[in-house]
Amino acid sequence: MGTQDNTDYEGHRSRTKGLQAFIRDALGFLVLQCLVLAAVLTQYPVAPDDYLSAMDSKTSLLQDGNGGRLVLVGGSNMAFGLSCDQLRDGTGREVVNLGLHAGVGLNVMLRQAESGIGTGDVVVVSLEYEHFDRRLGEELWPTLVEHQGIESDWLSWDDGAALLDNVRYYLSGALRRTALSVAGRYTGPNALYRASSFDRQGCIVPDVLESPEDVSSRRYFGGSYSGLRLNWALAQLSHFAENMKDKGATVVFVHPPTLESAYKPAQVGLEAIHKRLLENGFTVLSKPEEAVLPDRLFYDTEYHLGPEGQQRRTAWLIAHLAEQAGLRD
Amino acid sequence: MVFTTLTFLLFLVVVFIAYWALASRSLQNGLLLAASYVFYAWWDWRFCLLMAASTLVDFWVGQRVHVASGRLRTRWLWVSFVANLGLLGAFKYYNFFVDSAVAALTLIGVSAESHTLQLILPVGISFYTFQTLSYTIDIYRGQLQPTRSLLDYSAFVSFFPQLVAGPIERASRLLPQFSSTRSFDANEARDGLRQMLWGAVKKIAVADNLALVVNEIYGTDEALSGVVLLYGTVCFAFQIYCDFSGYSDIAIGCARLFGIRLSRNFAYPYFSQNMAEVWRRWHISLSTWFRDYVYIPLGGSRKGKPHMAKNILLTFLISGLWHGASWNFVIWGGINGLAILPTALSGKRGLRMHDVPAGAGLVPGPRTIASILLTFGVMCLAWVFFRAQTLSESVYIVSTIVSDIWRPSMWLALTNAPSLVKSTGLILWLVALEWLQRRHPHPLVFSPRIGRPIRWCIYSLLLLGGVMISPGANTPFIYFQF
Repeated sequence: MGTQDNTDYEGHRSRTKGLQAFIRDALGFLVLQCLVLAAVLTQYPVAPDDYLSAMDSKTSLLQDGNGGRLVLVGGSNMAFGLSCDQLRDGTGREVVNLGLHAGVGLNVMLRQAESGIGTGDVVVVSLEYEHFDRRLGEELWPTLVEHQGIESDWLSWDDGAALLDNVRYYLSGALRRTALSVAGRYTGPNALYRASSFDRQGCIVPDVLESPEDVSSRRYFGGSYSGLRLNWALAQLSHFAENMKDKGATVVFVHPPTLESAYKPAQVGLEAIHKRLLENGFTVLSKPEEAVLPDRLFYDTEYHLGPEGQQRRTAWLIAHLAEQAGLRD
Repeated sequence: MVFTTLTFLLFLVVVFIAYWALASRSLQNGLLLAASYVFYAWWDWRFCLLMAASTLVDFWVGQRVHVASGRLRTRWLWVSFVANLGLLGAFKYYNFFVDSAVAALTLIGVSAESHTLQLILPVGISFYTFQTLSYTIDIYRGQLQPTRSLLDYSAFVSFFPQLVAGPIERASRLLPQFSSTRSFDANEARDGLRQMLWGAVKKIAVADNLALVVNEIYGTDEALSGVVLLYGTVCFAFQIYCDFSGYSDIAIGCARLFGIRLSRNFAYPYFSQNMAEVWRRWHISLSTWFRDYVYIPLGGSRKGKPHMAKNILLTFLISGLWHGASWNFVIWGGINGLAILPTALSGKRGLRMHDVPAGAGLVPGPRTIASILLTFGVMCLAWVFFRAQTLSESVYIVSTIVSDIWRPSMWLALTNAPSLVKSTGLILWLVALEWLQRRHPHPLVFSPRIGRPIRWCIYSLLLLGGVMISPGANTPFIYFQF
């Protein structure tokens, strides 16, 4: 019996030793990877004029002003879809265009807007349809953090899990950019997508829109619409609208500009979203088909308009704001 | 929770430390069970109830089958069949059968309405139902004693490394491991980590990059040259291999950290010299499952060659349907079944899973190379049906490839193919590495003469290089959809 006990004890001791050695090795390897990564990323090139760095200035613009403004909330369909000067002249209100990139995610967009809305503001929300179809956001947050364009309380626990899931993609992007930089091939943000491409009110300056692309093959939700994300997005919007009401602001929705060639394949999905917005008591200024514009008026994606498209959409918005939201023409 | 995320890595570290800190086997099994349900609930907690129901039914039926005799025994087995295949039928095949029946009725002039259901396919359902079925069938055959521990059995069914995409384990192989004490083996764990690393590199560096090319080529509305379609198909062949074998390697390596040995699922299938050998090297746990539970019960090779051919074909057609509820998968199974027949009927033994593929030499002979390429060509033909969305699309792709590859001018189109240099480089790198290391279960097995500094440099290069070249978009594991 005593011999058996000794054997068991020796076996246990040897296993524990093996486990400790294994954990030590694994930790050693992990530390080595972290050191190599840290060494490599010291060469990471920060681009000061990065497109997403505009988020910080847009937030400041919102927070520095008083109420009674026209605040535009959405992704790049707002940034590339309206003329701020025309809107200001047409409504007589100061314009703050928060539109930047759908990829920052609905939650961040709405929290950013909530951070500076004042009494008497009219908030026009126009969301890329993908917000109603799938989760967006986590891909761009590290870049926003890099440019101090995001505040920690804009993210939820759920977002934390998404961030963890995406660490590999962040590292992948950072390593690639560093490698390009070290090789002398990193050229910074492209000519169009720069923070300096926005005017003082947050709209894209028409002068930079020089080379339109063929967008006729673009589709919304890849041609199908699952509807799974819709309830989540509607709940976020309801919460936002209530907060805005408490602050004395008015919220209206408009549909984003929609490609004529891509409307039919997505019509059922777009109408379903519209119907649910109405059922949830939101003021929607238009039906989806009223947002349809000829393909030639688009610039480089299914949501970005060229100068002529921007003027048409802005004129349409001014007219509908006057008619349905009581703003002067 | 996906294997290639930091979320999973943190989860694994916590479970690993807690597991080896626990003193008893029962507590370890309890921890594995809880961890597996957390892992599964990460997708959708509601489906945990489905898995729990399947577990309870088969645990109970296993006991009944064991104590019953005569026809009652068979009836209890049918309860297991109905419960498991009923789940699969409802979630995976209901719409397919309804739509197919309506189409057939319409064809003969009878009008019928289609009443399909909007159901989400629970991830891993095809895998764990087959695993639980093997338990009741083995008891029925007298090859296994039912376990009296619901805890051991539940941990066996839900074991998280292989829960959602296999390897599909036999109860007779895996369950005893849950019923016995495991001891930590540092060498096993180290090799497990190496296998996980290799699986992750295959997935994120090769499969995910090739997926971009394949999606672009197979997803376009434009008329592409047959040569570009062939290039897309070859890319898909390597994408699905790296995706699925990568998943299996991570699963097997992960299980080894817990002192549990899972079955080998891939053994360098693209070095096979005929289709029969392919199916001894590709998704081995599924092909042996079908062999033991479908092909042999159908009669196997016992009643002469015509019956054998019929049984092989039938088995592969069912195997195709297992992959997905569409006629494309059935045809994929049919092509594989037909392609196996010449070798199977010839009675030649051929190379087995554990044999070194294509012989031991560094440079294969011309005949071996020709056999490997011909076999790979047949696999690619079948992959077209696997990847394309519809039957007509598959036929179009195959016919365009066949008509274009003989025309030299068409090969010029390849210069415009997406990511040609990167994809070709990745494929060649993978093939070369696997060829050189094909005697080992996975390529990251090194001679003891290679010291730790060099090994760690290789691992670091693979890990950081793999992360760096992985695309910036999440590509789910292909077999999650089955």
